[in-house]
This record gives sequence, C-alpha cells and structure tokens, in this order.
Amino acid sequence: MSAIVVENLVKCFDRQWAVNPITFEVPRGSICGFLGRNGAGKTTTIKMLLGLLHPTSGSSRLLDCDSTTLTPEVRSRIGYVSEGHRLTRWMRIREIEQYRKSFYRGRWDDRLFAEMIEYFELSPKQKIKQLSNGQRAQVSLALTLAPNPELLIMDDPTLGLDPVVRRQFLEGMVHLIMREGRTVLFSSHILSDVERVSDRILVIDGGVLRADCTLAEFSGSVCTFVLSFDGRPPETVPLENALQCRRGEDRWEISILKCDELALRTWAEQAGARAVQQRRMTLEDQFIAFTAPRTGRRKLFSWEDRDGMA
Amino acid sequence: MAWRSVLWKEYRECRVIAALALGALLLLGTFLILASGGLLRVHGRWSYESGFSNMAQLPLLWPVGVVLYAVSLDLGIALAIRQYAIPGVTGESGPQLHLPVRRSTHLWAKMSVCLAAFAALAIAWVALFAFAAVSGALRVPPQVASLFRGLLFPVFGFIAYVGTAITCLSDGKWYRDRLCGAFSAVLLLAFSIVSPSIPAGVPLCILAFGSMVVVLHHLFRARET
Repeated sequence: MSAIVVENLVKCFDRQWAVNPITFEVPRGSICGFLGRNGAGKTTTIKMLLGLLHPTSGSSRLLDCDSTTLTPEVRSRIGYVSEGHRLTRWMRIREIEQYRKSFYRGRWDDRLFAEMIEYFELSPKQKIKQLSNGQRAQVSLALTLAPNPELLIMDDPTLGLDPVVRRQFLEGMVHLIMREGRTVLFSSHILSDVERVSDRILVIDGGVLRADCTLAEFSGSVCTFVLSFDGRPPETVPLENALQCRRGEDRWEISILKCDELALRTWAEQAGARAVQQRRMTLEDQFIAFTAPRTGRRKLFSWEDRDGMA
Repeated sequence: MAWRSVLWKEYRECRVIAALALGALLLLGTFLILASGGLLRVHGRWSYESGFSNMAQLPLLWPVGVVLYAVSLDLGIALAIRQYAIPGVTGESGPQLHLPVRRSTHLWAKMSVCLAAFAALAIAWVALFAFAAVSGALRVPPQVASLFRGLLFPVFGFIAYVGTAITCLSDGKWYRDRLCGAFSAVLLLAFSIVSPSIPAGVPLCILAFGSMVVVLHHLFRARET
C-alpha cells in the first residue's frame, strides 16, 4: 500500500510546463528523497500533492484521499514543512504551539514538543521573528512532528541551515521515522542529507521524473570512467546512455547511465586508449552527471578552452 | 476550538489597523466638532475667528461624516490587503491553508474580524453623534437622519473590503481578472449612493453585494499558494 500515489500529474503556468506528466508511488514506511535542480518542479509537485496548487491534469492521492479534496481529518495526519519555514512571525513559540495544538485535538504530543524545544535550546517566550533561520527550522520541525503525522512532506527543509542544525533536523526526522509506518517525502539540494536518511529517491529534471528507485539502485546505475590516451583523444564518444562527456588534452571523462562496461572497453581499445579507469562517484557527482544538460555544457570561464577542457 | 484559534489569529493581525482607524476617526471627529463649536484654539486664536467657525453652520454629516467615509474605505482596503495579499507574499498562506480546518473557516474568521472592526467604527460614529448633540457645539443640531446615513459608511467600507479581497485573490492579468473586484466595488459604491432614490435600488445593492461575497468565497476556497 502506498502513502502517495501520483498519476500523470501535470502543471502548466501560462503556457510554460512546470511539471510534465509524472507518475510515481511512495510506499508506506519509506523515506523518499525528492531531488532536482532549481526550477525542476519539486515545490510545484509538493504543492499539488497537498492541494495547494491545482494540477492542469492528472491526479494524486495522499493516504488514500484525492489531493484536491483533502479533508481536515486527512490533513491532520499529514505534516508539511514549507520551504523557508514560513511561520507566523509575530507569535511567540508558546503562542504558536497553542495555536497549532488547537487544530490537532487528540493527536498533539505536548511532551514531544516540549522535549524538542528544550533539545534545540529554545525558550517558549521567544518570538518567531527574533529567531534565526536555523531556529525557525527547529520550531517548524517540532510543530510538524508534535501532531504525530503519518505522512511528512518537507520542501527543502535543510536549505540555508548550518551543518550542526542540519544534523539536528535530520535526527528529528529519524526520530519520527523510527515510529512504525511513518512515511516521509522530502525534497533537498543537499545530497549528503538524502544519502543519510533516504531509502528511495525520485529525481525530477525539467518537470520530468527521471529516476524513481532505491538509493542503492541509483548509486549502482551511474558511473564515471576516465579514458587516457597517448595523443589527442577522439572527437566524439559513440556510446549510448552517456550522460556527460568531458574531453581533456589526453583523456575523456565519461559518465554513463547503466554502463555496458564491455562495450565501453571495446570502444576504448579501438580508439587507442592507453588506460580505462572507473572513478569513484559520490551521490552528488552522480546527481550532477544525471541532471546535467545532455547537449553539452556551456563554458562558464574562458580558461576552459585554454586548458583543453571541452 | 479551531474556529476560536483562527479568529484569535485574525484579530491579532488586524487589531493595530482597526485601532488606528478608530483612533483617527475619534480624534479627527472630536476635533472637528470642537473646532466648529469654537471650543478650541486654532493657531493661538479662538476658532470663531478662524475658518472653522463656518463648519458650525453645517450638519454633522458633512465634516465628520466625510472623515467616517474616508476612514471606512481605507480600513476596508487595508484589512483586505493585510488578510489576503500579505500572507501570500510572506509565504505564510501555504502552511496556514494546510492546517486541518476547512478553508471557509479561515474566510469567515477574516470576515468576522473585519465586521467587528466596522461595528467599532459605527459605535464610534454613534458616540460622536451623541457628543455633538449633547455638547451643542454645532449651531445646526445633528439630525437623527444623519446618524442613520452615517451608519451606512461602514457598510461602504465593507464593500471596499470585499472588492479589494477579490482583487488580492484573483489570478491572471490585472486588466482582465484582477481589477474586476475593485471595479465591482467602485460601481457598487457609486450605485449605493444613488440607490435610495431608485426603485428597488437597495435590494439591487444587497443582491450585488451578496454576489461579491459569493465570488470571494469561491476564490478563497480555490486559492492557490
């Protein structure tokens, strides 16, 4: 059974496609990282899931309820952390706790909220507008976890936070996940965060869903090879599934999706490569290779030509 | 419980604006009544010797009623911007709308706070009328008809509120969609002024206003963040 079911969801703003038909499911009890570059369509998708944006076409269901008709009862089972942790600025922590609590009768965990506020070394008397970004994120997490949500949706929750607060935030998230049957979908730019807590990832690029798999599957499917040559390397790389190819003075650096290593080595031998080495990739390297433009990278600096990087 | 919380939040966010409007009406209204009665010194002279003494010849509705009219319209516009436009700009509206409560609850809470603010203006107007009548500051004693005509001004403010709210919540192009709310409010305000002299004018006004509230309700329920 899936906590989130998305079928052919499309969003178009003024003739511009923000989300092309995307289809995916997030199984109950899983932690799913939602990855994508800026403007890839992550926030739009999340807002459509929560019924805060109307899809142009397609549908989505959260906890077996259509996103466009989420009832207050279903909403009370879904936690939402918005991008930038937008909280009511004039309230004190104590006031915002009382305010939020009034909507979650029977679900609100006073002790958990108090413990989290104490753990983050915050005072209930502090006003939201006086808090730093990191502290606001901490309050936001405490407010979201206190009603014990079955499904937690977070839109880039660790954006702009320092490593210590990020770690605390993720630990808070893990705290929730350790409770049985909880599902988390969170978008992020920080790949190490995703690597730390996710068991599944979704990669969206230009409004198109390009990966929906486990983290292990993704890690195993993107790899980079460095081919060294004695003279100048060949002009082109005739390999299917090549994601990113960078030519140096005496080498090709090729990132490939689901690499057929035999085909690669055969071509390398025919092209006169001296050595073929597989380079170790982090999730960040893999993500960059996976989402980089296929048509070739535009040069950012003039010295790239001089140094022979094509 | 949830309704009370939403109401409390709306009240806290609007009370400063409402208090400013109320203060402005009471201060300006009292000043105009006293000044026109010659009870104040203006620029070191008794106001009988200044231009203010001419106002004592006027009924209450002209000097103080104009202030009430302006304050009501400004309050309506300011409250609508505070309640519907600012949360969208600050990004607060997304998390608010995700709270487990019906969207209409948010809307009725906003409108209730707005109604309470206009009720306060109406009470202030009645107080100013009573003060003018009791103090005898005006040479033309205020007429009861003025009192009731003045009570219409907060209603006009509420029309301005609904019109501005529709404009704030509308998507699309300004000239095509967004200005519809403001334009309808201006038309209705203009029509409201002449409606008592037109057969079925008042019911038509009520009908038009009801339609605007229905549009506002629809827009708020379908609101995107």
